[in-house]
Amino acid sequence: MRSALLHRVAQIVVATIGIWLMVAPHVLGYEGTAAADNHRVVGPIVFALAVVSQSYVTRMLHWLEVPLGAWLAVAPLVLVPPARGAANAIASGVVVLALGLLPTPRGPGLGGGWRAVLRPS
Amino acid sequence: MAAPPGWDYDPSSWAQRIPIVLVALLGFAIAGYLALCQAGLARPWDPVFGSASTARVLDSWVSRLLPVSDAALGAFGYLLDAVTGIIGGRGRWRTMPWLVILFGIFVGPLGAVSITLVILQGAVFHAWCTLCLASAVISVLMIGPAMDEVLASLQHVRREARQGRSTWRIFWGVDRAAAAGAA
Repeated sequence: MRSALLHRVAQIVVATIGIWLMVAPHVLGYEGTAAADNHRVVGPIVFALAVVSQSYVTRMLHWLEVPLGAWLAVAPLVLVPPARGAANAIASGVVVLALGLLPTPRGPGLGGGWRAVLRPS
Repeated sequence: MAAPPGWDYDPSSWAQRIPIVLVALLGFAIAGYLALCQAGLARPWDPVFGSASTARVLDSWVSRLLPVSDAALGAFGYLLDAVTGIIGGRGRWRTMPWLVILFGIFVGPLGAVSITLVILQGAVFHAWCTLCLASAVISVLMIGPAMDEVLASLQHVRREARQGRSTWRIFWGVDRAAAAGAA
């Protein structure tokens, strides 16, 4: 039960970071850079994953946030944006990565879940 | 007993489906209005980014890629979501797997396309459109709540196929014994 609440709160934070990434270039003044474009690509994806993983049946989608968070954090090494964009990218990336790594909450079995469908007969 | 084996609720109950249908109808209204704007029959309205920004998004080359505008296609998608969401009774995960899976096919990609359009707004057009963003949020909100029913139908088809029944007949819900829940 506690992990379910933790998951819910963590994914609300991740969804908020997804929106933040879309407005950050404007707020922090790195509009027009490669970092801005990167954040406006990754932001909507992170937001969507966090929202969809709020549903119990699709909760495992939070794992996809892990590579996206890692990419956000290392992208400044590749994209050479101005310093402010880089700091935001690393901070947002690390938080998304860390929250994406939280364990998937357990709960009602839903008849064996997606494994029951994918398991070879 | 309408809940699938190993579940403690029926994912096809009205309480589960009506909210999705209502949200889909809201999405239809928004996308329909945007389609009217693209057709020149309504004026763009945007309280946050201004109607000039919305107009830039609505008149982008992407919106004209297909014979119908992207908002018109979106409105049609929402309508399909609502129609495939409302048809069938409780326990339709078992009686109409084809419809439930079709519903999932309509809901999932609509959300994926919406997110792609949001990415294009920010990273390619550098212009925003409030109602387009609202429509994208709506399409993403529908995905999770729709997928439990899809899972129940897929499990049902697999389970009955393992019992030696025809996957084809189970999928179309024409195997009476399976549709009635006889395991």
